[in-house]
Amino acid sequence: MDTTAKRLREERFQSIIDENHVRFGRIARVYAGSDAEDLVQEVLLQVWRSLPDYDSKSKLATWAYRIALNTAISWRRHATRGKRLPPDNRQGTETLASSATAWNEFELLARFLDSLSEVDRVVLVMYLDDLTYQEMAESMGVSDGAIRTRISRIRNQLQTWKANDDRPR
Amino acid sequence: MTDLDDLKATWQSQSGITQDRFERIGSKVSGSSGLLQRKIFHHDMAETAAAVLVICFCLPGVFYSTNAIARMAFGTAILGALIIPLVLWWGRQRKPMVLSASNFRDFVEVEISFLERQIFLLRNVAWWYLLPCYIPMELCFVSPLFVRTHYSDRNATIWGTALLVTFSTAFMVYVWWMNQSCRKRSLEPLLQYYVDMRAGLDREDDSVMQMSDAPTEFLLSCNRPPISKRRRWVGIALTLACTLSVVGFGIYCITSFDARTGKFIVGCAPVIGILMIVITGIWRRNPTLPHKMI
Repeated sequence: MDTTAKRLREERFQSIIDENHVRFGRIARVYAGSDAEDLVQEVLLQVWRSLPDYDSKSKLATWAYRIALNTAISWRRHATRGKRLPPDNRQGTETLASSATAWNEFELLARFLDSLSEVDRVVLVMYLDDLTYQEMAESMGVSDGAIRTRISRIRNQLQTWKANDDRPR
Repeated sequence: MTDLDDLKATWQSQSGITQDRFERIGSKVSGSSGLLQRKIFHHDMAETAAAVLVICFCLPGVFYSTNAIARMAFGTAILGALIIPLVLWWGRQRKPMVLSASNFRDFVEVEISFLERQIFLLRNVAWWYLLPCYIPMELCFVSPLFVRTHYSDRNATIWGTALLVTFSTAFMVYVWWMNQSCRKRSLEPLLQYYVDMRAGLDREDDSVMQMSDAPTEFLLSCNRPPISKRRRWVGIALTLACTLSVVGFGIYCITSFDARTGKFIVGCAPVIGILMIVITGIWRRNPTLPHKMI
């Protein structure tokens, strides 16, 4: 690899880290619990290895985000690594939650995400991360309409989930 | 938390890892990526070197051995040394770049095709892996039956050979069974999981891919499936039986065939025992699985 290509790769990698570290961190927390850092490392490794193949068809950030989600789903299949810890144990993870309320809200959100199917979870994570419908559709390989339908269904599921949620208060 | 927009606010107020920590992980990854490539390269080289070694060791035997059975044994070993690395290389083929960077649908397709290939390999492990190892081994074991020397005690040779053939066959059956068990317990549920996920992408209704009972088995499955008590005892019994039978055969060789060869065989017995312990995985501790997946 010549010096220019190497420098370009490093620049892109740094730019991905700068732009996505918050998003990647959240995905890692949801998908890997206390092993979030291991998942982040895996994601970054995949990004680094894939960078030479980046073809500029989509935005670098979206492209990297897609890698992060795919890697996170793969991660879940390794049960010993991807085991989901009970909420109490998750407090070992590094969090910037500013208050107990915010933490509880996030726990609720994590529980709702856990109640969804894998596909719906991916769609919701992208929605929460402010991706456009078009970006979501492109990332999922489906139409815009399908994404809208799915979001609407998730909205309904949230209402049902709230109504049935028997969590201890 | 009343609506998706509230969820969005909650979600965006969180950050799992500090930027400083993130930067450190990033620099570690970019620095160690070359190391990973080198590790994969060394692994591939080790496999190729082992195959070359087997070929170099066996090739003279094919041409210069006077015993037809020994020739067949050497020939089959060479065939195995060619086939096994090739099949393993084919089975490992998956482009991680394409896998990572493609959209979700492509990613699921790649995973499915990779898993189907792995399942195919495990289902047919007897043909491409076990038989190329088993045939030369058995030919070696039975070859004393066709060699007549003044030491030879015909009955003892037959019994010794029968013992070795029986235990080595039992061992191969055990390895085959373990492979099939791994396929059924780990890979097939995982494949089903991805197939369901693909179906979930295509269907808009709620009937597919609810996280109810179906994925639980997948979530509980491990890369290394836990070893049952029965399987552990079968493995221990086989290891002991194989080791003892090799010792017995060695002693028989010392007393009635050739002392030097006999001592060598007896010396090999512990190595065979250790190899069997490693291969059968009976030493492994079962992973502790979480009581509840949330």
